[in-house]
Amino acid sequence: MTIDNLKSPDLAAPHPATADRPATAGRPATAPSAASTTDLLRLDDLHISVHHGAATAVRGISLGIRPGEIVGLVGESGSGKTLTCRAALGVLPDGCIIDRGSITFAGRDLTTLSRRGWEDVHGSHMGAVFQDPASYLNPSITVGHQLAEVLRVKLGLSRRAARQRSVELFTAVGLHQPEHVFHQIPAELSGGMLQRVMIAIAISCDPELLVADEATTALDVTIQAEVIELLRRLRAERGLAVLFVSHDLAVVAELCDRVVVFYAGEVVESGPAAEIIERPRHPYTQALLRVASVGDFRRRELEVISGQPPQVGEDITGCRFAARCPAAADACRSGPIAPVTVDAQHEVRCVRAQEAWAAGELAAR
Amino acid sequence: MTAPAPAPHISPQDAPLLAVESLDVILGRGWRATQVLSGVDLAIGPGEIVGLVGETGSGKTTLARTVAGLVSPAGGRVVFEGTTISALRRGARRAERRRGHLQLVFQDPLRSLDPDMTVAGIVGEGVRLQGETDGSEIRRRVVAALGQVGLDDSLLPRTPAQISGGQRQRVAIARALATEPRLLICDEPVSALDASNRNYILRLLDQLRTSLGLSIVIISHDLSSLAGIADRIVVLYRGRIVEDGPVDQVFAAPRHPYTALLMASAPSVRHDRELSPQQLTRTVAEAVALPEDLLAGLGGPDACVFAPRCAFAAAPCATQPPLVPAGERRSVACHRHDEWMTLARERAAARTSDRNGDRSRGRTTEGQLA
Repeated sequence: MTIDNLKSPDLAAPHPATADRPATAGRPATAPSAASTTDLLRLDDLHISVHHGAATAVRGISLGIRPGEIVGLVGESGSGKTLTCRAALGVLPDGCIIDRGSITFAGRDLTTLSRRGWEDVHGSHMGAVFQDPASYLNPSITVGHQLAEVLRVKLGLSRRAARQRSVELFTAVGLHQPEHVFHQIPAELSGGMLQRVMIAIAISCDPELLVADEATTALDVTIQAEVIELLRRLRAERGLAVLFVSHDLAVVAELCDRVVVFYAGEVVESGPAAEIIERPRHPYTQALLRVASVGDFRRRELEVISGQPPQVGEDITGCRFAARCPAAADACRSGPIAPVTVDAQHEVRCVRAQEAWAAGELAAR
Repeated sequence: MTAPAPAPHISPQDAPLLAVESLDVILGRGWRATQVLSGVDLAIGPGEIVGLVGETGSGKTTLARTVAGLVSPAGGRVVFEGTTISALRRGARRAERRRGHLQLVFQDPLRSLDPDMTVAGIVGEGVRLQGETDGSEIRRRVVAALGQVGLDDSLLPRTPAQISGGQRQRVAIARALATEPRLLICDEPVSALDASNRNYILRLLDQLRTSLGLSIVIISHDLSSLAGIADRIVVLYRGRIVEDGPVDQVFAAPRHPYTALLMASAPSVRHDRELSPQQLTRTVAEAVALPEDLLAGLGGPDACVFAPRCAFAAAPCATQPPLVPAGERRSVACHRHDEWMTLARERAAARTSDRNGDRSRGRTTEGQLA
């Protein structure tokens, strides 16, 4: 990936308005072999260390997202899910290094991508929204201007065309009175409206992938439900793939096709969302499910996961969850645990994966 | 509608620990003045856990701050342990605060705890303000308060930045407990925590209620976890209480459409809700189809606060409904509280039949509720 990104095709030509995006000539992103069955984004054996190599926070993550698929990353704070998606976005914080592994997006290797290459990927192929929309917008410039600016720089639209397209995008993300919103500054909008503005900016150049890192966590439940509905609709209308990061398994279960469960820097379980919710195999997933908001409105004993996750970078022989696991056996502590496939697309990193479910570890709910 | 009776929630046998009576709060002055709370009536009994729910801007935090004396009400009064604390001024108000019988716990402990102070200083500060000067007695009470939240004295020399998020929130609760309060008001105590820590803190509050006989108000928007520990739920919408009642009854059969909307919007790992959020709110298309005079009335200043979003708003909703009793120890502020559920079911049935083949689950979201 050296000289092929010197001229971004998106800067030259106006962008097609809707979801049917022809593979623009000269765009290295769409490899000729890329069919809809292959992964759009693929992470393989990704290792990320923090504090300039002092501690390994992400230990061998592998996951893939197909075009139009919504994949949820779920886990406690500090489990490495945010670092993983920041690495995929090429915006790792200072001192964080990718030690090993590969990140491939539509055929190109992102770990060795140049700054110019990232400029092409950001916006045009990948968009992102984060937890606190207000801190990503300039407080003194109208939100319409901030969106139009992206369209003018990335797509080379004229002032008038960018304005018109902005209003269309605001309508598409469900903002009421988009013409009016165009002229408002962030302080005049509510958190839910700001998050819609951020989503409008993220999808403005029609990316194939949206990374949403705790994008609904700070919102009210009613607004959260609306934003989830919006993401679903964008997927249906535009074929947008979404990497959705949340610590709330219930939110992930609402939205995602596939769930990837993180624990202490490793993927402990991954599979279709319905399968994970109905038949979780890893004791940690089972515990998460017990503590999640299950839409249960009865008085009940609230459950907790006892113990604390290991420190970032702590080296543990065997399973990293063993210290908190009610089903831990000697085999769990003797050596590295390899993921096992228990069902189609359902992988678990647990030596007792088959027994745990059979033993009825999951509390009857 | 049944015959109105005054103060529906105060059980006659025990006087409430805290009584908020027709409280009005206006923030800002002149043209900026905004009425944040309108005629709020609330009573908290001894040893009761009350969940206060509502969205951003509904006035939950302002209510907590007014009760704590941080905001002066424009009308109504706050009575705590028999004293009208909202009428106290200057020295008397400060003395009441130093007593420490009413304590607030804030949402984000990283911001509400002084980053330069140690845990020992933070937890001990309230005790010192109560007038305790004996260092060993302060330390004893600090260690006791930490013990009540499941922390040990190894944390004493640490600063808030040196402990984990769950521990920080427990320190914030220990700070409140150190002054031996009667009432704890927790403003979104669990919103910043992950599910396991959230349940831990809520369980802890439930245990403290039992062991110390505390009354606790928990402000939250997570209905499901509130349901686990609260005795009563109070739903606030745009500065007004729209529903109040025992937790099991409110969640089994909400009487206000907004309560039902909150429940329908709560994320769940199972997809088995009777009603979806879309069935409870009005779409833009439906709003446009309404007769013009009705639409103007519903958008007017006297209209029911929920009317602009409500799918069941009709002509009577152009005036704000009062909070009236609706069953034993329950009250609701909705003109159509005994009709809307039937209408919602009809709406759901109609939606299903005309949806045939329409894949887009989100089509009603567009333009809705900006």
